[in-house]
Amino acid sequence: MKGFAKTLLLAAAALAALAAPGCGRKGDDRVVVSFWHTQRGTNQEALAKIIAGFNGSQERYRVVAQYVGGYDQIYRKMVVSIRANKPPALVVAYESMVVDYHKAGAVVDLDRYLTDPECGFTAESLADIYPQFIERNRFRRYGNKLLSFPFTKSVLMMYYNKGLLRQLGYERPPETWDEFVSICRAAKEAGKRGYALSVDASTIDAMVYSFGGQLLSDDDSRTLLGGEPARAVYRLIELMMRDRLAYMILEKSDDDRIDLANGRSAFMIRSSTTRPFLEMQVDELKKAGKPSAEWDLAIIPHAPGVAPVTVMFGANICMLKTTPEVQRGAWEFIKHFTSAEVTAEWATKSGYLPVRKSAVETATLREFFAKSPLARTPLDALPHAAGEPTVEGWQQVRSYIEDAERAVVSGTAADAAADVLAGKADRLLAEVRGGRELSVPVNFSIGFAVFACGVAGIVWRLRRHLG
Amino acid sequence: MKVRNLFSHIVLAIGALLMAFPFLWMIATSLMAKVETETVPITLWPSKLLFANYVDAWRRAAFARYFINTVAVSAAVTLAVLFTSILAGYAFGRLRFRHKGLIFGVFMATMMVPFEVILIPNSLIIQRMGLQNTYAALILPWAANVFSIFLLKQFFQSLPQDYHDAARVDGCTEWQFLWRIAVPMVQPALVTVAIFAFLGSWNSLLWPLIVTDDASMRVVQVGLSTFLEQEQSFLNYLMAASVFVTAPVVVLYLLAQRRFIEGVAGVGIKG
Repeated sequence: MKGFAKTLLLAAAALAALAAPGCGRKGDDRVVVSFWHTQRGTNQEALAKIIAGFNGSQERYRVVAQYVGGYDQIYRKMVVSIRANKPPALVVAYESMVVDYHKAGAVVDLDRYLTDPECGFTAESLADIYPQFIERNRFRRYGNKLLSFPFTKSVLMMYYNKGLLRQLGYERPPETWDEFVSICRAAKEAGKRGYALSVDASTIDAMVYSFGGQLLSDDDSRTLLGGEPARAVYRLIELMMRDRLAYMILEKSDDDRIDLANGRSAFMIRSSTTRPFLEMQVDELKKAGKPSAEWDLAIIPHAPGVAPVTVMFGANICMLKTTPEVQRGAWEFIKHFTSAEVTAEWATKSGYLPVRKSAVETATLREFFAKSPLARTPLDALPHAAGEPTVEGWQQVRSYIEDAERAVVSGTAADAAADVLAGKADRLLAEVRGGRELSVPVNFSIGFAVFACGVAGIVWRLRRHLG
Repeated sequence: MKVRNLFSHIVLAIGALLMAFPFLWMIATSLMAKVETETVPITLWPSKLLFANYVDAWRRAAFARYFINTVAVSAAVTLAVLFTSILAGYAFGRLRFRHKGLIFGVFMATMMVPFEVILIPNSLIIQRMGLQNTYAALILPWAANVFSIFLLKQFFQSLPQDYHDAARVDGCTEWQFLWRIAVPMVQPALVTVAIFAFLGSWNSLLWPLIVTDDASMRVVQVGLSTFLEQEQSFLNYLMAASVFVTAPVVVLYLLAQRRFIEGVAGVGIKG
């Protein structure tokens, strides 16, 4: 007993000692702008360098960046911090998350800073930012307010095994889905794999656009996922899986990139941010004297008669309500991060797209494109990029889209999967419009309380047996 | 009989191999160059043993700090779980009080609540208590564990009543009986509880990410996630780091293996 108590006391003392160094840490007098992000590894290093540059140039503000895990973790942490009224000054967020934070009353409308005569953007500077990126951060349902700003932007691209295609007699990448299927068939006959399919809602969304479709009705009241273009997408996947022209990779893995780099497959469809990593992997394979693919990237195929199209995606940076001083510091950082030089530097290090047109003219990007010409292709695809819906509930709809894709891959008929998808998605959007709250733990707590009462009732009946 | 023995040994050997294979793969991958981990077909043996991967992996994240934090938090959680489980397990196992069955049932019912459900309410409580970014935030919510209470209850219940009666005749109080006689007698169960508590704390990732803000407060699992970038993973470094993150737990298990098996095997004992 005494031994155990001593151990407890010792443990408490050790913890107190461990915590002590953190208590006496001295900071400078500048206003701290906390910034929660999801970047790791080389991107995190690049971001840290940009932040160090900002902090070095500032007398009033200091940005403190914190890696807070993936998007799921950052969202949960945000829910807690908003409820506890202790949000960070800046957070990286997808549009659906911005909507939730805004509904909680935590988001700053950036228009007031953007148009501020003292600290805002000039008309020329604003026009220099790709309009698609700005539009993506305006939320129709909330008076077209600018609730976030572009941060990590990319477009969906088709990566192809150029050497294999040449070997099969194709001198250029497929422009239509019919050509895509034909090449996959030829690859299969040559003993190679066709399309490495990665289950992903954004890819399906882009494919719907490429069949001439839209995802939402004009008034955002219902999805168009039961329409002919969406059905055509699922039928294409059904056909490719049935004829073994496509194969599904392990979800959230890099297997498609690995297969393409090793020359085993003909195609993968991925974000433009995959480009530097594919490039790096192929270089490593070459250095190691192993077989590797000659590859290239292009905009995804489309249906005949439909203009080339892809989707742009990526996260944004969202400013939370804190104090006017902190918010001003946060805005200064957003301006710094989206300046031509910095966005060019970020693009070269991370593989994301620069947010300014003038960034292309900087020495940094000119040198970079000269060295990595393939890095230019996603930027050329940007004018063809459309955004995905930002309506409330779309994050959940995305999971339904992926469920439907998994179902088709597993053998469900495409039309049946599309019917189920459209039904579920429309019901959800109707519920959301009707006021159903998403991701609010209070509702769940009520449900849990009812559940707990039920359990307690059963326990009461069985109490004699449990004792 | 011999044929049956041989068959049993073959089955057990296959089972052992299946269990050991992930560990062997982890060690083999930890010694490979990155390019080898991304080559198809998969290679199971590195062409060159790169022990430097361990040094590189250690340097790529603040593992020294993460280890100190994790050891401190895991040890504190283990001690706290042992303390609370001994008291609660003894109360449910040996004491008589009103509504004991009901209270125990409610305790058990909480095991059905998934961690995700209590994540946000718990972290809100931590925030409002002003414990965000402290060791207390990493320890307090895990200081009691219903499964451990259940395990110890079963063991305390199985102790023969004669020991208790004899101790009471000799003037022993309930408190003294618990710590001097009952606790030493349920050591296998204590080892099991300790291992489970330690493992649970050692492996936690989401909770530390939510309740800590400073990198200096993070734990080893956060260090492991360093090697999983959005568009690529450094499998060789990840596996090297996994080896040194797993090693303390494996050593702990090997040291306590016999007691652990006794503890698990004894759960079904009914007094």
